[in-house]
Amino acid sequence: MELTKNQIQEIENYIEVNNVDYLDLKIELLDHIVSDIEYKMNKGFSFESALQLTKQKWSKHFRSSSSIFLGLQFSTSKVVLKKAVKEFRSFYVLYIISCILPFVIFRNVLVDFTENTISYVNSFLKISTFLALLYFVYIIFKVSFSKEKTTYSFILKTQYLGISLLFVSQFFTSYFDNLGKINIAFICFSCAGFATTYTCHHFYKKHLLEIAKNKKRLCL
Amino acid sequence: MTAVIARINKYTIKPQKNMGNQKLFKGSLQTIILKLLAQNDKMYGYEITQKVKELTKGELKITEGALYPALHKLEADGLLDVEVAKVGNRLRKYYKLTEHGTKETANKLAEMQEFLKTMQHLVNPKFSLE
Repeated sequence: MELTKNQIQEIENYIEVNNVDYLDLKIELLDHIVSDIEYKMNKGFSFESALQLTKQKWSKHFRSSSSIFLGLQFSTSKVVLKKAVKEFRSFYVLYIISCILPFVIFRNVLVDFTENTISYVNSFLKISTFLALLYFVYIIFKVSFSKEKTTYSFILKTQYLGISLLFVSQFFTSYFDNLGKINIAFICFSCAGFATTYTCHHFYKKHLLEIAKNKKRLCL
Repeated sequence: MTAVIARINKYTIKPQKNMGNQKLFKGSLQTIILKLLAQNDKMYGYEITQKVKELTKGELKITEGALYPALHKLEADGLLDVEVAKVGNRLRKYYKLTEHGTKETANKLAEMQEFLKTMQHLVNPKFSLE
């Protein structure tokens, strides 16, 4: 038994009401729920009771939830959150490495850098952090004004606070102290900023790819 | 009315005896998906859940909340390819193994065999102290 367009629309509304209308999940959730309802109807259930049973089954997956990985203040449906955490987990490691690695590398460096080197390194880091900051603002702007919602745009929203790392980096006058020694705390701060920018770049690209895929699907 | 409730329960309540199995099953989800796709040219999400239910006579059930994140992870890792087709009044996403996915399936199955062999050694009464 195949569902009519109106019945499918009713299920689409149910998905939208539950805030799981993410482009990368919607098609599959819709197909799964419709297939399940059709299976039950083939077993003798009416559309209404089959829909009721399916809603009951999905309610736990659509319940709002949050994760310590993405920040407890960001909540979304469990099914979206599970995917988001799975996608983001490896980047959590990147953040930790970006904070610890400069400390491990530079802790034992006792070299006094020449003024020229200090000047080059300072200029390089200042320009890099400024460019990263501009790119970060661009991503925030583009995602905030985008009408399309994907799991990746949800992940991006949870990372926006990372911009403060790059913003604060703009106020560092030098990455070296008066004796010409590296200021590890400042380096760690900027590295964490770069790591956040890279993470946002990665998920922004995935977000755009999903939108492009969806446009292709609409042509079917 | 009672008949309706009984039918509803039949479809919503999972027997408690399955809880342990479900936990063991969780870590093998990706291998199971890859194995199923190796046996079938292409499959869609609902079909995978039904196939597992059918093969295990209802003993194991893939929850929807775990299935799609696993499929998407396998796709992101380049092990699965996606094909979208129109079915009736809706779109359907089919998954199939990539070349890399076929190789990885063999590796994962070998790992699983090794794991089962080790477990067998551990739980085999012949090796027990009793």
